[in-house]
Amino acid sequence: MKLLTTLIFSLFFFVSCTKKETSIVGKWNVISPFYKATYEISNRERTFYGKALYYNDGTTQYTIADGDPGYFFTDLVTEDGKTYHKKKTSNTHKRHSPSIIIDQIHQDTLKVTSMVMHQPLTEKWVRTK
Amino acid sequence: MNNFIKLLYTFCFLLALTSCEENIEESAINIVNTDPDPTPTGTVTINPVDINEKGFDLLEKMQGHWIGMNRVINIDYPWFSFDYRAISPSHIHGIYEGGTQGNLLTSFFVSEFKGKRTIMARNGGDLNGIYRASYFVLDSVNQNTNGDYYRLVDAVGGIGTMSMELRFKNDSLYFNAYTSKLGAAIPPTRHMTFKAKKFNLDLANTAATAVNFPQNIIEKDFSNGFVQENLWVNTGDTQPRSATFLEFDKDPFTILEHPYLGYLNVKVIRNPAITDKVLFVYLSKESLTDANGFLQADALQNSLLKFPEIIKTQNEFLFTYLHPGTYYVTIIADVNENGFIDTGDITHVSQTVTITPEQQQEITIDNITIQN
Repeated sequence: MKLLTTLIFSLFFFVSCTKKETSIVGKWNVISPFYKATYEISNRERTFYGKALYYNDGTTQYTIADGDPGYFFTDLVTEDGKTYHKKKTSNTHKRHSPSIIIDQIHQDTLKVTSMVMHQPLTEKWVRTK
Repeated sequence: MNNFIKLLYTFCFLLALTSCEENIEESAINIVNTDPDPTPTGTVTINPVDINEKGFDLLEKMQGHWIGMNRVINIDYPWFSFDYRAISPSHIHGIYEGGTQGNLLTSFFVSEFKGKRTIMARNGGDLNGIYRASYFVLDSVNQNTNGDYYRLVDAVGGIGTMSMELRFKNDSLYFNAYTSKLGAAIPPTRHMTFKAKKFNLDLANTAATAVNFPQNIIEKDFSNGFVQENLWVNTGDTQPRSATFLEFDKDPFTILEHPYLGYLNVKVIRNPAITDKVLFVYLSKESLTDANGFLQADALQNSLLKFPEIIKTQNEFLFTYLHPGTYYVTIIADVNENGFIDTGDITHVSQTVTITPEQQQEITIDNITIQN
């Protein structure tokens, strides 16, 4: 009985952790009055990657159909419930954040903090299909 | 007063939703920035646009009292404005006057640069005690059904150091700026995102008529470039990375050479109720108060032209680079010190003053006693 209980708790813990690590995977719309963007987060092994599918700030716009824009961020890892990168960000998305922290506050909502000129800018991303 | 605050926030919200989002949505095709990688690779090539062929209309398009919202680095301003009017046949000017903290301007003018008749911009001011004047040159123009796009880049470092992009669509403006601490922190990152709609075009039209604007004539000639030894050089560098001057005496195009603009010195006589309060020193097209001195929401929303604030110990403020014309002057004491116009703030009946070209006027406000 003790072994069974341990197994159940271990399995529950494993499933919970696994779900949390991967749940940021998907497509996300940025909620901002200043620009529109849709990012796709994918994972490879235990790291996460972000790519812009659509971006429009009024003067610069691209869609994934215009060509692969490269990754917005790469090599994010999850620790203590937050996802952030330990390595230097890919340089392919130069006009945007050099650093990013993703905090999943709901299954379909992310609090994303990026550093702009060493100042934190926090935005909400919501899941989309 | 609560209704007034609600109205103000409602206006900001509606402005954000209607004037900006819709236009972005409808124009979300074919405005793809295909310019080269902005990371400098050594040699910087800047190719000014010849405005004899295209782009001269940027000056005309810039005219207007642009009201919208602004994000500066990570700070959002739900209400913001720039008042752009001609100050010569080929020079248009707008400034954010912050008050005690200083100011920030961007003007656009016809120039000769690298063998081309083109448009240059002067951006800078005196902010937080630092004088700065940076020069940009028009290097990209793209006009189609989705709007008219203009890009200006740092006149020394090119897009790898600083740039500003503007797109006009109907009566909307999208104005984005990218900076890199004068080339010390490349690649550039977004510094400002200003989205606005055009209001009060009559002000700009009056100025245009007065100075015979617009004409394709040189306002400031930079055909010989800049005096190299006057350019700012970052610590550790041997060459300047930016067309930036950090001293007034080295700036090649100071306020002293700017025509038509005037000055206004506002003196405030504080009474005990506002002795230790931050003051908003507002200039507007219409009176901000009714005949009894109570603030009017509509006027604040649509006719506020300059909105500096001064600290508790300051009793005088000098507006520089001020467009000639008649203004209403309104001082508002921020009684609860929340940084916003609010219930309980103390003001007075707005007073008028007329600014004449290249002259300084003065006004004294000594009756700030009406509590809203």
